[in-house]
Amino acid sequence: MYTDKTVLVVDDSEIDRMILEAMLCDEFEVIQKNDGYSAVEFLTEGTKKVDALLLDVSMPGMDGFEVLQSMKESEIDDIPVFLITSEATRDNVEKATQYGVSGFIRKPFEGEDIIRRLKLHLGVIGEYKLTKKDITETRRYIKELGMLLRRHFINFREDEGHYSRIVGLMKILLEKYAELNDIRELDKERIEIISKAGYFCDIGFMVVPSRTVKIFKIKEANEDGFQYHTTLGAELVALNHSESCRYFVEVCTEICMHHHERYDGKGFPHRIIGSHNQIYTQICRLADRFDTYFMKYQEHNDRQFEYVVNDIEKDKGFVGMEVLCLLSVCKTDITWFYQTME
Amino acid sequence: MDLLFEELKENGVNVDEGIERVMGNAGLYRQMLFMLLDMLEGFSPQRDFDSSNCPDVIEKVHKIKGATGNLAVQPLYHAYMKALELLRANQPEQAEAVLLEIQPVQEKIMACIEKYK
Repeated sequence: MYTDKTVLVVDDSEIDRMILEAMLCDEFEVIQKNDGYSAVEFLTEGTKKVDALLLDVSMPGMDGFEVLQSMKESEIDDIPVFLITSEATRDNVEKATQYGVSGFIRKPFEGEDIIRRLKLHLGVIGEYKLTKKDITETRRYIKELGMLLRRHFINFREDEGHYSRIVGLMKILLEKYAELNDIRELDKERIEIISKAGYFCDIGFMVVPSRTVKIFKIKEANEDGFQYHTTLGAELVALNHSESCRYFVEVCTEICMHHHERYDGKGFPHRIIGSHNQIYTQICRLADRFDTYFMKYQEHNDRQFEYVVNDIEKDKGFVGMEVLCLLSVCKTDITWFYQTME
Repeated sequence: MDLLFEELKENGVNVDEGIERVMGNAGLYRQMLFMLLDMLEGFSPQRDFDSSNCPDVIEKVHKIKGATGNLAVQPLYHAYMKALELLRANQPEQAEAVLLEIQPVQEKIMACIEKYK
């Protein structure tokens, strides 16, 4: 599906540029630049609208971070940037955070993954219509995957109810978000699919060895073993290549991968900053935390609701303000939801 | 099947993965192998390590690692990845040893590509 979007590839390696062009050309218009200087010149001229930038970190002359600095000085801050690198080192990640980079593209390149991430950031996903067959097939897949995950919850005595409540909360919050922002494409079917994807946010733990989970759950959240469940979960969900389930797989993969990111860029695994993290992923993050806090209370009425919301609001930079404010707007629906659950 | 690809496979190159990475375009993959050959010819462990220009060596090794990885030239990719790690850990002698060890394989792969250029 050709998307009408333009991607600028900046890399001094001709082989890498050619491979990226071969991977992307069926979906995007690809423009190549072989060094940082020509890329900055092209961007500042503004003769052609660029929708996304794939930028090599290591280039002679002006490297990727110098390009980002130049873009910042020229106030070019509305283009999603993906850094091309063999290693997402701590130093690179920290620098990338300062510039609000959307993510890293590792070498060797994985075409499907790059296209999926670009489409998500460019808002291409979701534009195609879901057919009746898509919805039926997707529901069937969600049911099958859900049975598998429930078995895991039972075997490892995990709180299945928490994930069911995330689904309910996400539905309430997404409906309100669509209504407030007049997002018509976020229809009933999509809201159902996105909400149900929230159930699988931690599915990666199924493939993290149980001993590792126990060790890392009690340690700092930034330990590699704990973080690993995000990428593993995304990889697991993405194993479904059915065209009918594509929308669910893309949304669920994104949620699995990025539900521990923070709006201030201090989350993991990619330290995605601001609105570069999808709204529905932020909503899943919010639902996850809200339920964890709210369930600590015996009763679930207005007073406990206020305590929890105040607590979450103290954590500046957790999710975007437009997402955070949804809790208060949906107060009646949420408290009613918990009362009916009881 | 292309004879070049057959010979490369015999030398440990994952040709199928490389072609898949360029969306099944075998012609483009072939063209890129010729470009890789030029890149490999521009780097010699003996010569470049003697020049003592460490940033330059790192840059070249980094580029070859990226290209061999993307073209699925696995034996060279693994060796250059190891060498790059050692260079970054400030162990140039060990890095050079790794690259010298892989030289016979590299020469075979280069000769193979050169034959069909």
